[in-house]
Amino acid sequence: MDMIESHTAHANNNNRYLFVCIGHDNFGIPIGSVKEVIEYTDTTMIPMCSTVIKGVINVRGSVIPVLDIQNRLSLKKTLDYDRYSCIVLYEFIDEVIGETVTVGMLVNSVVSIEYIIDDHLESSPSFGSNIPRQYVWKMAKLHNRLTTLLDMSKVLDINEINALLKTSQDIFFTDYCKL
Amino acid sequence: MSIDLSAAVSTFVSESKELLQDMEDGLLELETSLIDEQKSEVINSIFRAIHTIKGSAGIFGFTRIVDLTHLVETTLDEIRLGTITLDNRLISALLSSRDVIETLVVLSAQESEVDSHTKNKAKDLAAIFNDYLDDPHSHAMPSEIQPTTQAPHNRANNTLWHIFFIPNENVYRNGLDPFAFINFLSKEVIDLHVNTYTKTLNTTDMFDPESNYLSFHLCFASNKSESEIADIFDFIKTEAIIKILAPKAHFPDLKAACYEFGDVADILNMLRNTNSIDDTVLKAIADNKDYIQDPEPTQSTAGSPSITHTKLHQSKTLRVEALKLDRLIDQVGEMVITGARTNLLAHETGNETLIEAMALLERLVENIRDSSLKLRMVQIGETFNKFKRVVRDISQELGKEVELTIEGADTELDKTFVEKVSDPLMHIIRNAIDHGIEPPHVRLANNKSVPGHLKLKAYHDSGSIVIEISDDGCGLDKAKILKRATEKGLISAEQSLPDKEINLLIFAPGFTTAENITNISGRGVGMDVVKRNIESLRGSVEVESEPGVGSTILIRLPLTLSIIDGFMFSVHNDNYVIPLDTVVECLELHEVVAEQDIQDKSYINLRTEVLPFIRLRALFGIEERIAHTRESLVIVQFGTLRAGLVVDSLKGEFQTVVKPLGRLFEGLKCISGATILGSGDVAIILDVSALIKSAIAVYETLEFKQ
Repeated sequence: MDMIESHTAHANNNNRYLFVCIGHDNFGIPIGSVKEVIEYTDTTMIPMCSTVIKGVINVRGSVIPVLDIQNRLSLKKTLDYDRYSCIVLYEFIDEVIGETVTVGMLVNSVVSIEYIIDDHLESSPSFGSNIPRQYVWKMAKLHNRLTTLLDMSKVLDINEINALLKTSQDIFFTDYCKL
Repeated sequence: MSIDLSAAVSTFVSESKELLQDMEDGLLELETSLIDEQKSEVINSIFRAIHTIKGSAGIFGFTRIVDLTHLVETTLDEIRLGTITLDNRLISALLSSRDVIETLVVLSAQESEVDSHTKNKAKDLAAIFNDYLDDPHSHAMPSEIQPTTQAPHNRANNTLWHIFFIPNENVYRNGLDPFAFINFLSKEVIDLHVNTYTKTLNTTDMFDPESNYLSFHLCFASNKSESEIADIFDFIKTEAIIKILAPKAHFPDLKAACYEFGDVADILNMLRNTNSIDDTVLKAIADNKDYIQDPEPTQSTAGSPSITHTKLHQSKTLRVEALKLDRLIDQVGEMVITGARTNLLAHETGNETLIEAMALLERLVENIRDSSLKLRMVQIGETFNKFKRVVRDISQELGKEVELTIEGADTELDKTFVEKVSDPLMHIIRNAIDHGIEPPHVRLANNKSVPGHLKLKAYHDSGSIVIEISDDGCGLDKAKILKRATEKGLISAEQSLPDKEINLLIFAPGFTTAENITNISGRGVGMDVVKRNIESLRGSVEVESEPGVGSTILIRLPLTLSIIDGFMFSVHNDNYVIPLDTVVECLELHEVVAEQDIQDKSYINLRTEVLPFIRLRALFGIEERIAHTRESLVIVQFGTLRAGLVVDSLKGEFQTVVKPLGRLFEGLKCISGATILGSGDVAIILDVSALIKSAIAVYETLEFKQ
């Protein structure tokens, strides 16, 4: 019985995670919503925008925003992006407008795809994590190491990022006018 | 055997809604003073609309709709014939029947149960119509509304139908039996009298047993329409002369028929026997012996005026699903992008013939782009016409008299705009009637004409569409607005504002000067909706008002959302596009101003005019500077605002397919979208007006703090 259940879960991508390297650490992203991984290309900067947004790229005729995940997770120790860097296209449904939204996440590199059974999931530490706690969904035990699984609905909270962008735009204007 | 009718039903719903709108327009038109000829034309068109709905509803078996439309149709038919006079009460009843039919159509299509409210309404309406239909003395005097220009006394007063049916000699040889038609007619009508006579058989020695010499005069009662009767004889009409005279036919027609189709005395005898025509009329016919006949068979079949009208009014439009159109526009957008890319590659090869061919292709693509964008353009008239009803209803409710004038109904704008602009217009019009236009006694006291005037006007103005709503009411009460705004904490008491901004306070959420909340306005929600809707379309709203004279609200909208003619420039390796029609001119910065003159200030003296400018490099937070001699100045204008943008280099005109940036960037004031360049790179489209307005706002708040 257990076998069958885990098998279907496996097929549904339910317990599979894409592990990526962000800064100096690995993080897991549920693979079901990952549309594709593309190589890091130059992005077009959006003027007067917070550093959370790296820019926008053209993916087969659609303009997709790309998030600088190191900045989004407010990592203190960051790494420059290089030829191993990738853009993970993450697809989800925006509850407000009821449409699918694709957002790109710029990560330092892609590590592996792993299957993690529920028994190997631990709750997140109450403190001490290097990223804000709301972004952590669970900790996964993998090869005897603890790896953070990201809560993507929080990391890619459109309303929150949008508010962030608006404040940073206001700052740009004020800075300019003060000159 | 189940057929999926859902598609057909949805067509029925949209078609019915359109027809009902036509009907409403027509009824409102009837309220205005029209000459009789126009009136009968309008009534005919309303009749056709309701008849079509009845027919379609019958196909789907929506009996409730059929019942009501049938009654409306009968009433209209009587109006058409002149037995019922069309008064205001009847127009109101017809208007509300239009609403009930619409509700019924929607409910029937959803297969949901009709609520008791609608049922009662339908019942009330039925009572009103029956009241009119039963009115006994309406038959005595025909109303002024007649389908033709004939004066009422020219009517022959026949109460029954008369048909002259004269089959030609060869009718049997051609396999047709006139008697079969008469036999069929006898089943369709009541009290059929047939008079047979011969007209062509003069001498017996010429008799040909295979020829037909008989002519018929048919007289009967029926409530069918003329076209329905004509249809019965449809098959034989090429082989016979058929003259149909409806009840109350024109006297000259009847007279002509009598002379045309045989011996007058015989025919008059036959007519007398039917007891349907006054003796005076028959005598008049008999006395007109010098009438010259002109037997033209083609004339005889053209009996029904309504048939010819129907043919004239079939519109030449094609119904296309909106989604298909959107997809086409998307694909054209892709084609424009790919075309630009191909063009770029062609130029790289340096192959002259290829470049020439590409230029030709580019031009074709541009044409296709323009014509496919036009497909989405609709005239604003339809939206405007909807408000005739609104104005009528609200002004009646408030006991005010309002005349609505519409100008520029043929101005075209994007379909998406039409849908989104309708709501704001509704709010503005409600407010104008409720707050703007005074009651009749106040208007009289102020030396104004009793009916208030409301004007809806649309026109194109420098790359945007302007919709103007103006009234000649009391104007905005600035003192009252300021008082309310201070109470609400929108402004501080000591703040002094220019008039334009005081007027704009009416758009603040929750703002109202109304003491009482009515069901028309006063909650302070409407105008807020107006502003937000218009801004979501990248438009703007302005208010002009003069106390005692009236107010005007100007809505400015961009022409289209999806493809624009853009102007491209670059700042720090990134490309930016602004709408081409906002660009006034481009200059080399060092040619108009020396570097040391703009060290610490952001304006220049351009041909003795002060022009403030924004240095985009600095605004975008790019620290690295470039040489003054390499900088360019783009002068942009939006409405009355004029300013300069200092950029790195100019790239020129560019056909821009606007790609939305999504909700992540929603509400960012200066960025209105992105576009993909021929090289595959992305360029950001800047909203020039927002950019300048934001800069002004920030400067002002900074000054305020100091």
